[in-house]
Formats: sequence, structure tokens, C-alpha cells
Amino acid sequence: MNDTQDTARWHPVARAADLRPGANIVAGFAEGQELALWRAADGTPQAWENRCPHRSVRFTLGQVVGNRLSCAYHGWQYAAGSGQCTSIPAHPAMQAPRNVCAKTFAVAEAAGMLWVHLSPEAPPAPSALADAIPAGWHFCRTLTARASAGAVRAAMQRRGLSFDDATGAWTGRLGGTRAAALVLDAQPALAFVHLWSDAAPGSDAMKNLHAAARALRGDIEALPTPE
Amino acid sequence: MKDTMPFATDDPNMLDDWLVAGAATPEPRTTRLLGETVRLWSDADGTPQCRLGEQPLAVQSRYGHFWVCPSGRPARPLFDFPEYGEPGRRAIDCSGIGVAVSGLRVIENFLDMAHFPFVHADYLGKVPHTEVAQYQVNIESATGEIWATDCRFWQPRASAAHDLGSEVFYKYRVMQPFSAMLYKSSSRAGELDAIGIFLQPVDEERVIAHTLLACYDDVSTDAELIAFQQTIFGQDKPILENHAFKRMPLEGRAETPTRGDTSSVTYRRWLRERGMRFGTRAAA
Repeated sequence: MNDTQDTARWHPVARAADLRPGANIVAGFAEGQELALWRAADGTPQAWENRCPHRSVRFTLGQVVGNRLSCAYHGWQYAAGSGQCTSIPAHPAMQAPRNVCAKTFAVAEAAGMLWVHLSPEAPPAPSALADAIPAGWHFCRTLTARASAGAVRAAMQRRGLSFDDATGAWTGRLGGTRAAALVLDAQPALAFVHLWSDAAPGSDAMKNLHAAARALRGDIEALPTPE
Repeated sequence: MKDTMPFATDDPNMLDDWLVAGAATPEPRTTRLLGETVRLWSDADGTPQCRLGEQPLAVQSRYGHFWVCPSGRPARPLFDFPEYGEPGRRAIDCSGIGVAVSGLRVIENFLDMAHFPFVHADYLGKVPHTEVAQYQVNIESATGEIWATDCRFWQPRASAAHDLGSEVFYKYRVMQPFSAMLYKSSSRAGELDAIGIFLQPVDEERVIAHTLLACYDDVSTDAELIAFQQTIFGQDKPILENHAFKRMPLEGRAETPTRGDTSSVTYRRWLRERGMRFGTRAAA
């Protein structure tokens, strides 16, 4: 796995279609960092630390209001893009101080996924991300495994899937169905696997992939946790 | 005795104070306090008893509740609650509700009016009436208690008799790090209802919140008054349990207050000055 640093550090946090413009907020994780994922009304994806700077309540309890995120606790609003606080309802006449700002992360949309980079100096997203999932493939499911991402990758290797250095995707057959898997290091002992396939939704091949995914998780979680 | 104490903290702010341990009932029961299980009951003559294993702990029964001093060396007497049992007032125990967060977060929430229109929409507030007007916060020298006065907030249903919204007046009082009271306009002219919140510290990130009313109300049943308080608390609970840090930071820049957070800022400073460690988060 040489020369994969950029790809490896762009984390596939969620399926792009799960975030609707100006609507919902999705809880995300990457390397232990909790994220609030949402889309402004204009469609631009946002990945923020899941914590209001005022009293540390999770942003995922809040709501999207146009191109702003509103905290559930005191209604403070923050602008998409910059994360800058724009409104403190307790003091309607006061301009929100410039130092009140949500922590934002770099986010890219490619291959039907949202990718997040945790570094404040995130490089531009590599163009190879667009090839992580072949065009025209269908989303199967996101599998959660109570195991490290390393343990998940080891299990992929044992199943004979091959790792693509450029995109960070594992490809091969699971349950006889062609599949592509993106592994997310969510927390030290929590990994997500986003599974895609060329099988049609509802087809027997897709059902076989679902069954193989459940079996895969069973195998991963049955392994003893390294102390 | 102090050296062998098994409790989950050595913070004298908790060990040397009176901690609520639930309603004072004669039947023996067990409950959790500072990471330990204690047994409580009242003797036939009403004397309260508390044991940690075989070891007796200092306990008193006041305001319908047991109060335990873990070290047996209370730094000060239990606070006064003169409205409890005052003629004409109804004293109603609204029971205890578990909350998975530091008790300091619960008290700070109790002192806060700015969240009314968002967390208690249509009950204690309503957008666009979101403004928190300036109020006074003082520390009373005789008792060391925090008092917030001249607090007022627009409420959609100020009383059962009024459909229209109006300004309601509040006073707040913090007696201990884990106990506070509020006083607000009542149905009786010139009198204030009193609501106490007493937090039983289960551990640094868990409390049982006991709520007690001493109010004027000739209309509502006990069940209605309890249901209202539990509805309000049920709206706060998911917010309180979703602080990204369950413990409260007293220093540093992890959290940014605004102008109307005077009560909260004073409470945090008051905790800092007394060296509070239990339920706090170290500065990053």
C-alpha cells in the first residue's frame, strides 16, 4: 500500500444520497472524531465537528435552516462553508462575535460518497476517488462492525478481495456477487463498510451479497480483540 | 474514617457536604451515591439511618428527602428552604429522574432561560420571543449562595388563566454545586412559586435529579403538576445527555459564553473558586 496517504486519509464517511439539501443532519465518525454531516440548501456538503462551540451540545440534534445549521439547545445559527456563527437569538440586536465558529473539515463528494479529511491543511481530494466505485453500480448497505478498521481489512484480504491503492476500495466477489467495499476507520473499535455492487437492487445476486455481508461481520466480530 | 473512604471521588466539595439520596421513606432501600451502594431507612421513631456496608454514614431527613454527608464532617449546614411546608403552599415531590451527564451541566441548564423557546417551545417560551434581558447575579456573603434576580422572560402561557403570552419573572438561587431553586410568578398575586432541583451524584457523569415544588395552585391535581414538571424535564434530558463532553469545563476556551450567560459564567467561576473537581473536565 505505497503512496496511498491522500486516499487513506480521505475517509468515506457517508453515502452522498443520504444527505438531502437543506434537510437532514447525519452523525458521522472518522478516526474517533464525531461529525455532523449535512447539506446546505444550495447542495454543498458540510462536515463539522459534532459540537456547538457554545455549550458542546451535539449539532446532530439541531436542524438545517437554509444555508445554516441551528443548534437545538439555544438556536445559535452557523453558516455553511465557514462555520461562522451568524445569529444568537438571546441577543437579536447583537452581531454574533467573530470568534464563535464551528469547527469545519474538508469534504469532497465523489463516486456517490462523501469523503472527509481531518487535517486543517487538507490537500485537494485526489481525482482517483471518483473511480472508487464503478459508474452505474448500486448501493447495497453500510455494514457496521465492532472491530478495528485493521481487523476489517484483514478479513477482506482473507476473503480474497483485492485492494486498490489509488482509490482505497476493496473489490472482488462476496457471496458470488461482484462488490466494491470502502472501509471507514470510525473509532478504535468501530468500523463501517460501505458496500456497492453491480447487482440490481432486489436481485438474487444482491440478496446473496447482503447475506455474505452479515456473515462477514459475524466473522470479524468473532475474532478476539487484541489487548 | 476519611482515609478509608471508598467513594469514587476525594473532592471535599462532595464528601464534606449534604448530598440528597432520594425521598425519605421508612422502608429500607438501596441507592447509588458517588459510585457506591448505600442502604437507607427510617427507624420506628423516624430517625434516618444510612449504611455503607456495615459502616454508618451521617444522614438527616429534611424537605421530604434523605441527605447524606459521606465524610461525616459537613463543612456547612444544609441550606434553608423556608417555602417548604409554608402554610398555603403545596409541597409536591415530583420524584427523581436519572440523567447521564455531570450534575454541573444539569444545574447550569436549570439556571438558563435562553433555551426556553428552543427546548421548551410552546411551554416556557416561543420563537421569536427569544431575547434574554439583562439580569443581576450576586453571591450572598452570609450563605455563599448564588442569586440571580430581575430575570424575566416572555412565555406563551404565563398561567392557566391566560391564553395570551406575557412576561414572567424569575429568581434563581444556587445553594450547593448540585442543588438550586427557582422562584417564579405564581397564581397568587405578589407570591412566587418555588421549585427546587436536588441532584443525587451517582458518579461523575450520572445523577438522579429530584424535583420538589412548593407552589400556590388551587386548581391542578398533584398528578397534573407532576406531569408538567416531568414534561419539561423530559425535554431537557436528551439535550443534557448529548453534551459532547459529559463533564463541564471550568476553564479554557472549549466553550464560549455570550452576554446573557451571566448565571452560567458566575456558576462556573463559583465552582472554580471552591476548587470543584467532581464532574468537571480538565482544560485541553
